Amino acid sequence: MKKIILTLVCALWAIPALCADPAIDYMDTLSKEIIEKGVLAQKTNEEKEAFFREKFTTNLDLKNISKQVLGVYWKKATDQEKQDFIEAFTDLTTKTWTDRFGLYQGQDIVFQGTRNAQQKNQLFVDSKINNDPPIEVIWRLRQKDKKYLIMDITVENVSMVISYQKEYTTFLQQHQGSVQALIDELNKKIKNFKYNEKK
Amino acid sequence: MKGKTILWLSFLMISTSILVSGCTVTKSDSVVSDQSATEKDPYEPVNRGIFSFNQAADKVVLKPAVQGYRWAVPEFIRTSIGNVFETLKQPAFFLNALLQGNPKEAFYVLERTGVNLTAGCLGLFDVATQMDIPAPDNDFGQTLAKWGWHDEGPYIMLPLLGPSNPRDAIGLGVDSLADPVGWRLQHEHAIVYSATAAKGFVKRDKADELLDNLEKSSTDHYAATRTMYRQNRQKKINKVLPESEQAPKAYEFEFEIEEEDE
Repeated sequence: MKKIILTLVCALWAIPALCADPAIDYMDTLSKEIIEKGVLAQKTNEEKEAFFREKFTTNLDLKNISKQVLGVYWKKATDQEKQDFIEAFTDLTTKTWTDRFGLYQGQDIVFQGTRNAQQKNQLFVDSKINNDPPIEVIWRLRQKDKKYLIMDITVENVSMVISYQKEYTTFLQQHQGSVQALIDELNKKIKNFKYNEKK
Repeated sequence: MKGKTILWLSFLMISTSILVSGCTVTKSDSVVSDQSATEKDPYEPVNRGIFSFNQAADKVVLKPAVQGYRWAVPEFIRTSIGNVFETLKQPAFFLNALLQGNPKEAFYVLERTGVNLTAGCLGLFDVATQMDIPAPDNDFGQTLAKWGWHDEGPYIMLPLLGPSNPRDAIGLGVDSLADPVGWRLQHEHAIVYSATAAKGFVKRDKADELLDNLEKSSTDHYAATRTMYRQNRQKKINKVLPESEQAPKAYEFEFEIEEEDE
């Protein structure tokens, strides 16, 4: 009898662990950390930017995002241009999202489930921000060395990667495909970036 | 009279935009036409001209007006004004829900309107949302898609109204006919124009920070606006179509990984 009860207790103990989806756990932990220690923390914009930069560089697959965003121009770029692009893109993305996070008004984010993407080791995590009306956010992740990396964020069907790709392709087509011109433009944007002070 | 004035104003703005774009888009015409074909934007030079005009109008008129509105009117009153305009949109939501063969949504619209007009003091307070009555999200552009007009066609930038396409521009015109302010006060031009301007304020006010953020972070503001509008619009069109007729979702593209990272 004792054995049966013990087995039952162990089984009950194991159910949540078996049901828990590691990708959802990862996104849930990361989003809570970003909201509590970054978005809602009493920090200056510069301190927030430093915090988000650390989170982005460790959790976003910036090299592959940059490659996807540059499309055919990635292959044409020199190694130095690739490196410079990744740095400028990371800087501008960090500033853009630090600024956007300033608009957060305490809405809950609920992670609902995962779906496999067509490519191996890639999956989508579905989530909803409880806004009026609710906002659908889909995260594209991939697994590398037993760790998750974020590859794309899609808000209401607007994919971050596709948007940057279309925007930068248009820019590059108008500048004879010069990746250096795009890097210069990104650096100009970074230099002139001013945080929104309206809260 | 109102229709003629708007038509004349639109003609004037389009003509000005064509002149402006004719002056500015000469160096890279061939490049623009290459990308126009891939982006389904055959009128890109004209569209860019209208976009520049809209941006200028926004900077000179709308943005300062919105800043003044924010300074002068407390947030809770601004929210109530927004709620009233939302209530005025309900007849269009109701008709589109019926035309799309969606009686459930039509019922929610009636329920929502009834609650907000009574418990919400003539639409000043959005009690329906607090009661978890779903908010409708439809328009005549979606209705046309439901009726078979699936291909959005070329991208067009409307003077003062922003990004669109032929199907959704027609939809916008039809939806405006269902506006109760227009029905009741069609001869009171001052009121109709003030209400239209106020609607513009409220819409701009809601999106103020996001629009600023997009402008300061994009290398080509026009291209960024075009792709975001299209992706988001596709979601709304997909919503009214059966799954077999839906366009692929924007995020389901093939993401190539560097071989050494595999």
